[in-house]
Amino acid sequence: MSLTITLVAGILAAPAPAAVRPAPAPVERSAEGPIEGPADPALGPAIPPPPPPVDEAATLVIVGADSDVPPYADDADRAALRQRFGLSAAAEAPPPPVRWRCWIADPTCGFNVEVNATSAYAYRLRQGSVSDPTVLNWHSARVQYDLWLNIPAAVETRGAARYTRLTLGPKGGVIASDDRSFWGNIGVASRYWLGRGRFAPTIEFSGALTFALYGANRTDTGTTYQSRRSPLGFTADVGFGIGGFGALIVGGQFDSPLARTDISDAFKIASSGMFFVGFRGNILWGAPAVAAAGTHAAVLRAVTPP
Amino acid sequence: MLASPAHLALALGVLTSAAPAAAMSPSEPAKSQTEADAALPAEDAGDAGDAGDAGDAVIVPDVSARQPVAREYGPFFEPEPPSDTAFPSGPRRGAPPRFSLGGGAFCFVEDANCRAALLASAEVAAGMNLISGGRGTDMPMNFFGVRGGLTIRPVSLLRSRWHPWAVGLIGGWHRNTGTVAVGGSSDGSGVVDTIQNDGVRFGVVNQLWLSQKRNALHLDFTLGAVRSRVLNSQSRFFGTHAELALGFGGWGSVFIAGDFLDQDQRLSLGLRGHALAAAPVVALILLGMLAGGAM
Repeated sequence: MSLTITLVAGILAAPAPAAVRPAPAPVERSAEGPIEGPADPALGPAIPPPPPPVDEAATLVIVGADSDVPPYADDADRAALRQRFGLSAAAEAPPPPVRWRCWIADPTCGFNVEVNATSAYAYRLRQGSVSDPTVLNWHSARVQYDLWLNIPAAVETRGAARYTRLTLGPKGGVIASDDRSFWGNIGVASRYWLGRGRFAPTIEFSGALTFALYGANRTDTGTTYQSRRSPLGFTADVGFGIGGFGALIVGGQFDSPLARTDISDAFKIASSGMFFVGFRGNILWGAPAVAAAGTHAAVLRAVTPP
Repeated sequence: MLASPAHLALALGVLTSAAPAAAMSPSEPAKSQTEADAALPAEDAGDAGDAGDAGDAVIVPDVSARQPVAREYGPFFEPEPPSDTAFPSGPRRGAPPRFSLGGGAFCFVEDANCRAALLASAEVAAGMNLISGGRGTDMPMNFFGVRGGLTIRPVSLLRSRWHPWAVGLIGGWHRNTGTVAVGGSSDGSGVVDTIQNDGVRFGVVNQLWLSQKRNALHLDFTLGAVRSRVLNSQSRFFGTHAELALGFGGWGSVFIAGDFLDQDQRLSLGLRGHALAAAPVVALILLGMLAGGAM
């Protein structure tokens, strides 16, 4: 019993171990409001006080405006804005109204339909036959009538006005040749406008598949005028024009041969083609139509293809 | 442990009062929905609710004050949105279609806002003549032709509002290039090249107009019959005609067409132009040939 008392007394009398400072009690965030007192740096900045309640009856005031109702900007404000962005002092005048109700292409029209007539000098070439490498060539002419459906593909906007920059759309029609033959074509035409005026310069591109429709069929017994088949060829041209009125064009055409070995020689078709330079324009103002019909008549009378 | 019957009664009372909040039976939502339906106006509730069953709390608003609700939704039915910019010479917003009567009641050139429209066009096409059964040779084939018809907008006519669907009848004539066919000899010899094959087509065209804009794009599906010579026969036979076209307003369209005749199929890709544009072209060609001494 005395030993037990001594042991307990010894334990109580022994020096205390190194003091361990307790961690500070965590501060609980309150959803009711901001934390009172100095903020603990370990917890970040204190939450700002809530904004004052919105006065529903308050009126929106545009600082610096002379009017309390729209429009808040006046002419002076607009003039300052134009000066800031480097625009001319006077607003751009609206474009003049288009003539011909957009039947002749104009940048102010948007979608446009036109019928173009082409009159061109053509340097023609044709292989003698599928088994004969001889190439026949002669000077001739080419006449073409096409329907163009011009869809605005790129548009420039100035103020409230839109101007067509690039049109792209389907086109197709008929090509007349010097031997009374006709060819069809189906393709795509585009026109890039280099300005916004009625007579703005343009660059035109067109390409199409070509195929024979009708023509002279020469046989040993004579020549008949009838339907004529051909495989698909292609034609392409580039033009430099004035508005939608007309363009000088340069292009070429290649007509594929039909020379399969499983068909007899009577049905085979030799390759041919041409390079051409001419004028293409909308028929509505007259000159392109007259030129095309005249060229067609002249080539039928003056040229005898080999 | 419950010390007494009084404690037991108290515990049961607590459990009973807590049950609805703790676990709602599956039948409860249905009951709530029924009550909600009953609270709706009679027109909206339909068969599910009866205003008389809901008691005095039901308030039926004035039906005449309601705006009619459009029944179709989606991009096809959206009118052209207003824009801050426009082509200065472009069509005025809300202007009637060109070459139309009665503000689009009848159009000589199809457009998105026509309730009836005339079809009149000329076409050129290129393709292949496919011969089956060893009766000939597959060859390139081209044709030109004319087509006419009439389309109407049934829903637009009946309900006086825009609708993308149009239906119509078409008929046309075309001249194909000839067919390279095996002759009548039983041994398969004697290949014959028919000079040309004329044909006529009749069909029903269904159109889907893709927007309400002027000169809008539209898809045309045509199904019908074709009557033409087949192979080297001099008789005319019926076949099936099918066509899919992409139209640009009423001024032109690009099409893929098929004529499916007996052992003689014709597939082609072509372009069609409205008669107002094609007529001057035909006239100028004839004028040139006449002046050139070719006619």
